[in-house]
Amino acid sequence: MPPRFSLPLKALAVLTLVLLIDQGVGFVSRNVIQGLDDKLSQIGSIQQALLHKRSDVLILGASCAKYHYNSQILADSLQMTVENTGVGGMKAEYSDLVLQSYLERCTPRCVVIDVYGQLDSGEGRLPRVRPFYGVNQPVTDYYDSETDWQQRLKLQSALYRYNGTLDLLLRHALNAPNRSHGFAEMAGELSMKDTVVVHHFLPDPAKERHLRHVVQLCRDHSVRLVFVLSPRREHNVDQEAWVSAFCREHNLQLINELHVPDYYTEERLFHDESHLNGRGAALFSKRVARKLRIEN
Amino acid sequence: MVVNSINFWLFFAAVVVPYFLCFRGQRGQNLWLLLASYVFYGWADWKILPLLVGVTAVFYGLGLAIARNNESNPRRASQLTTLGVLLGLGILFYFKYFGFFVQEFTALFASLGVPCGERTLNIVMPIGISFFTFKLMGYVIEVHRQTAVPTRDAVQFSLFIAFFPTILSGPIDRAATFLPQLQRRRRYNESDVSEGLKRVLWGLFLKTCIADVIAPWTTVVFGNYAHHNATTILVAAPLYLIQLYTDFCGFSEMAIGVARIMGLRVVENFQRPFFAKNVAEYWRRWHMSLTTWITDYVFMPLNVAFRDWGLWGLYAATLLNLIAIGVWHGANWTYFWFGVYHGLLLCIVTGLDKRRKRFEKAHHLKDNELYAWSRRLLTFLCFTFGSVLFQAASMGDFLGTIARLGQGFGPLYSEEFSSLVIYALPATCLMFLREWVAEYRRDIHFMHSPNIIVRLVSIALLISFIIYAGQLEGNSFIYFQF
Amino acid sequence: MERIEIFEKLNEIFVDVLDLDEVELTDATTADDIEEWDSLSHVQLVVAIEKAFGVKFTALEIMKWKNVGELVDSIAQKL
Repeated sequence: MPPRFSLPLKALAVLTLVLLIDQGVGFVSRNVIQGLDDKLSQIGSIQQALLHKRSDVLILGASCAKYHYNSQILADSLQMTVENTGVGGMKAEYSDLVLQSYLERCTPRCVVIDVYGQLDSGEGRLPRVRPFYGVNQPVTDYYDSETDWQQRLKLQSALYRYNGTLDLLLRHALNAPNRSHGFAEMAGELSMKDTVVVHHFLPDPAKERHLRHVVQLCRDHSVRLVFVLSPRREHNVDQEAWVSAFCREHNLQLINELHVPDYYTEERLFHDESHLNGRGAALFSKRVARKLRIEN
Repeated sequence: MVVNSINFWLFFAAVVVPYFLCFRGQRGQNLWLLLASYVFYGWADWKILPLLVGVTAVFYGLGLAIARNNESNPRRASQLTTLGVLLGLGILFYFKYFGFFVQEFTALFASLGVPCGERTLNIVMPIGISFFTFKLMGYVIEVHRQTAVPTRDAVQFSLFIAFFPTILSGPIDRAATFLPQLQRRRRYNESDVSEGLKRVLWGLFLKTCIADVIAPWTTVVFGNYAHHNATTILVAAPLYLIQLYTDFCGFSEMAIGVARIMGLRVVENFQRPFFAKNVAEYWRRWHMSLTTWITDYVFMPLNVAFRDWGLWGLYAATLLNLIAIGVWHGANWTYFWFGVYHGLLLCIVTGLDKRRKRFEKAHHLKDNELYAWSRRLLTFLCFTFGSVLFQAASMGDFLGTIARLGQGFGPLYSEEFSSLVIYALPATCLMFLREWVAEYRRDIHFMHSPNIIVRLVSIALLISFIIYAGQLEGNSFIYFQF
Repeated sequence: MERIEIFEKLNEIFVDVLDLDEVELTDATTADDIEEWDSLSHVQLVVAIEKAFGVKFTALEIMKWKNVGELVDSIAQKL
């Protein structure tokens, strides 16, 4: 007669098995992620920005940053090394985390932040930094201080921490190597004629706090901080006004390209309502570089 | 507190430990569970808790009155039953449909040139109302038909109505099967707890690894249908049906599992609907507790009433039956036309039934696998089309979505689609494999294997898969709005 | 009419409506005992029974029958 195991004993056995699987997955994932080569995939960009990259000029922001700031053009113009760490869907917390990580490794001479959308509520793609809990100090501190005990408990599990990474790693494997210092070009042209203007802007308090922290960090490390508003076919005037007021309050340079006619007359410079295509990005990068040089 | 949240499990632990340890008899156990259920419901919607308690008291009295009058004064008993049904329908109508009707009437008058004040009634629908009003109405009907014995025990009755695992989203239990279970003390039973936990785990798997992974993509596609080509829409439609199934079935499994842990058997809600060979069979396997409710209390009476009109009477009853099921989901023309669509399909199935049986006999198709699978595919496609209608926010959106099919094919919308392929696809295959085994053999593999090592490893792997590949930043459950 | 006669007539009706080869109904027979007897065919049976015996049932009576015995009682009452 085979022995009958009681339920608590079976539960303990299952728990032990899960812990073993957890440790195994954690070990493999950590090694894979830390050993990722430099590619333009999402997880590649995040890993590079949080763990490896150094440069004189640091570009922060979301998809607008990634697709607008041509690192090569900026580098040639400014005669400095430029890294573009823009990741689509990221907001002010991510910019804060990247800057903190950067400052652990080097002191950039200039930080450029593409600020539109950084203050919107919502997590965006921030959960993608979860795999770096316990690996990258700013990320670890962020989760320890800004999330509840339930989230911290869940983060102790490797399976939870690396949730969703298999998909990202597969996409990374299929991606092209990063030869453009984080910049990606968008192909295609938008045939939309009119610019759409919207109102009502309420900055998310947590995001605002992180943005102020970015300002504070730059001040403490004597790093020049520049805010940029990229051209868009659909933009929020109240957000524009808020950003201008913020820059005045903190005595920051603001490069406002929203109303520059060069982008809008020749409509073939946009990929969609909020992003320039490759040619648009080239024009934009030249103009931004020039404005950065002038104010220097 | 959603079933797939840590808060719920803390609550459940706090409830279930005293439930087994502290009470000597059923009275204490039931009272404890009732209090827990009211706390649970109050947490979700405390403003409606008085309504729930009040309505429960009224129907408790009605049940006893009907039983008293059943033999002595049948006319009175009928009147009381009708009163109960009207009360239930009235509450449902007010909270669910009144705002819609006012809206439609003012729109109608406006289009006829009669100006009406723009009044938008902001009636907030209490959560779970469609489910507990149905339990109440079912109770009085069953008592009147003498297929259920009314209870004098107010605690048992209130617990039947407010039972927390099922109050928010079903399954819809019947008094005849649920009340007797409350008359005995439930003891801690290892096989119940073990089976209950397995069901919860499977439900969690369905929801987090399939439904919630597919949801973001289909939401973007259907929410923005004007920007997508025919290819994308044609892929999104069946995916949405799978999402709807795994979402609701997952939730039902979790509810049934939680009840099972406490030693209580709740009715099943799903029985592998994708294996149905025609539309009629599909409805007998999908959301069974609702379908049987509407069949027993709407279809059968209508069918009996229309019986002298032969086949046309049957068609009318079928159509009204499905319209009732459609409209139960909410106040929107899409749900009405969804009912009409399925009603018509069912009429076709019923009408062709004898011819189909003759055809199958003549060509010896009864055991033909290919034939069975082609019927299943056809049924699946019928429901896929229906689900596009079901999810549309309005008839305009539905027609707009269908119109996209004529706008030409093109590349599939691939934003975030890779996570579907990498997580939802293997998970769906696993679900399908398990259902296929259960359909053709018995469910005695993996978690139910006679080999204990296979069982434990399967459970550990399933738990790990859920944590690693599941969409854990949960999406809200679709059926919560009903 | 004698109960035996009612049963005989019912057997014929069941065979006809449900497309059976033959059937032997007793007082205790229920729908669970005959595969083709579901809620749909139940109403068809009722229609055939009403026509054959020249009676009319109320909705409540129809829903209340728990087995063939009760059905036969209902018929007998009306004849």
